[in-house]
Amino acid sequence: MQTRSKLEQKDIESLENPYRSIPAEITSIVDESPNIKTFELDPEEEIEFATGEFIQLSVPGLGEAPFTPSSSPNATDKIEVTIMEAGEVTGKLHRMEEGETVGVRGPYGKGYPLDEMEGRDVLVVGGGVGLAPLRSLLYMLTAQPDNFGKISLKYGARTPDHLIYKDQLEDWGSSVSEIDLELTVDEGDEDWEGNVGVVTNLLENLEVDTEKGVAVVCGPPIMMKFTTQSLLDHFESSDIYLSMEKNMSCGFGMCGHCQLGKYYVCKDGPVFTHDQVKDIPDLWE
Amino acid sequence: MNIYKMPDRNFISLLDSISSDRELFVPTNTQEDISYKRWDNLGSSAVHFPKNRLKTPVKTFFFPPKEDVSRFPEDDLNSERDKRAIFGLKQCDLASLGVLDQIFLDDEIIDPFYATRRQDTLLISSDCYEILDGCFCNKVGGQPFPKGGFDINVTKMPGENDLLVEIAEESTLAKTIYKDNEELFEPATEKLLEKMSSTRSSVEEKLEEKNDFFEIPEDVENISPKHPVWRDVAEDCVECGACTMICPTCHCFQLYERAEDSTVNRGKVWDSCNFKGYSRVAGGANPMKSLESRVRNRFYDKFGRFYENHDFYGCTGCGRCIESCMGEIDMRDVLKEVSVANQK
Repeated sequence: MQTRSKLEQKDIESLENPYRSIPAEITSIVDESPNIKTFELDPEEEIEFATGEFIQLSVPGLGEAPFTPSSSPNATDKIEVTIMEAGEVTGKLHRMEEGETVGVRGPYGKGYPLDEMEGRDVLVVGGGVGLAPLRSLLYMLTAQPDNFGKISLKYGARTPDHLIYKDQLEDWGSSVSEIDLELTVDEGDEDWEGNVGVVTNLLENLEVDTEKGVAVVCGPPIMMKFTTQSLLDHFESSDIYLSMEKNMSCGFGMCGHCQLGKYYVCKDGPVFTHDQVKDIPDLWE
Repeated sequence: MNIYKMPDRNFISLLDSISSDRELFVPTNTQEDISYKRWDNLGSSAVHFPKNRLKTPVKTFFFPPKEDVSRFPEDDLNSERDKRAIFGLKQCDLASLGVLDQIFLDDEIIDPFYATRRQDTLLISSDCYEILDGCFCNKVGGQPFPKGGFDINVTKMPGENDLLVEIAEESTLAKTIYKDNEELFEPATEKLLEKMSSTRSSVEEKLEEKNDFFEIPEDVENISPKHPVWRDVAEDCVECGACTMICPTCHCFQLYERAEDSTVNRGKVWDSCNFKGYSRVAGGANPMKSLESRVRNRFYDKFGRFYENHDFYGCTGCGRCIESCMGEIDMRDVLKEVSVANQK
């Protein structure tokens, strides 16, 4: 225990306060689906993040919730966060308007390992609002398409109305796109001509070089569970990247809440390989 | 070794000198219990020289149950720095700070509130010369006397009026205190040093004897939350959270916000994995909904997760959780059951 001598050499006065939030103005709000909105935020101080890292977003006076930005890390002046209405904080966020102020701190955690993906096919599988962090990743992949192999996106939502980023999906679905896109919905409507069924149906006839490919998954726990099971037929456990979600308070490994086996999701994740977490009891509960 | 003889009246003078430029807390014996009190409100005769650890976990000095940690939109929170000293700490108290240091003084992000108090607090420890029913530090890498982590350690031996006082080599603060009070220190005698060593051994033996009925199981992490061991523990647990609040290494907290006019205060308040809402997320999912999974977590955290990440146990063997449990859950019995379950 050499802490005292270690501390004596540290300049305590100059330590940053990790509990401090930076005020950020909501500069635009986009309705993505009946219960999902994308908020564009303009923080008073620039927040640099890597794709897949997350921020703690606060409704001042109410509380905080963690979100992985859905925008590109290359766009440094504004951050976009796509939020599903689920609890108190997200409920209040959905009732807020452009021009109002929220708080942000971060970024935290370990994001998507782009260098590990270099030269390889990347299969991205998303469910519902889980496409949010994946969009940030897709921006990074398509910014330098020559660095990666084939980029595919399989995305599912409850209904056509629940698909988010409808404009982007249209772009990504076009023939000139760098992305090979396939969509599905649990339940179609009168205009829907595409796939109907769960997203794992799209994984049955994979046209990805799974030998040299990686898979990235984000979505609700039940979708992640079955998608992972299905992907394991094609991919190495260490080549499947999963975005884990837990109750979080501090965001940097001190408050204890987001424990997952020997890890803290906030500090060691939120992105884990399946290999890292596969033996944890009740992984998807 | 910087170890000196000191007549016990000189030790009072040393404490007095230390209290001249820092707030000093000392153990006092009231009718109900022995607890830390501020020195300047007491007569010197009220200082109690504790035989073993106090009830209060030392974390309360560094990581208080509740405190404000930031303000919004302007983070103009003013925290004054208080130079402090605490006398009466035992090896398990020092060990608990060793655990908390791993959490709050991480390499990447440091909790400035903890770090400041840690830097500003002088730690004066002492040997245990009697053990408590719940003591088991010897099973988790400790022993009933400090080997490090203190600034000054004091050894009192039965039947001796003279103390032995050790100044930690790595503590510049303690060395300064020694220089400023050199006249209070005398050279240590062989006889006293021998007596210290024999006293220490005899307390250690008693501890070993007391705890020879169990071992720390090697793979707590492999025991499923659904294992009957946890069901048995959960049957006795009343979910009061006392074990985690009084635990000197439990560090869970929750951030919360409070609006006052145009300012928002963010506070940090102790939380407990014993509570049902601990891991609940928006939308209602709750990975640790069952009490079995929560009682398991406390054991897994200290003997599994923490050990895997830091190579030493997250438990100091202080036995406070055993003392405080209304359901009479004894951590040692549970560890014993886990060992048996592992062998099956």
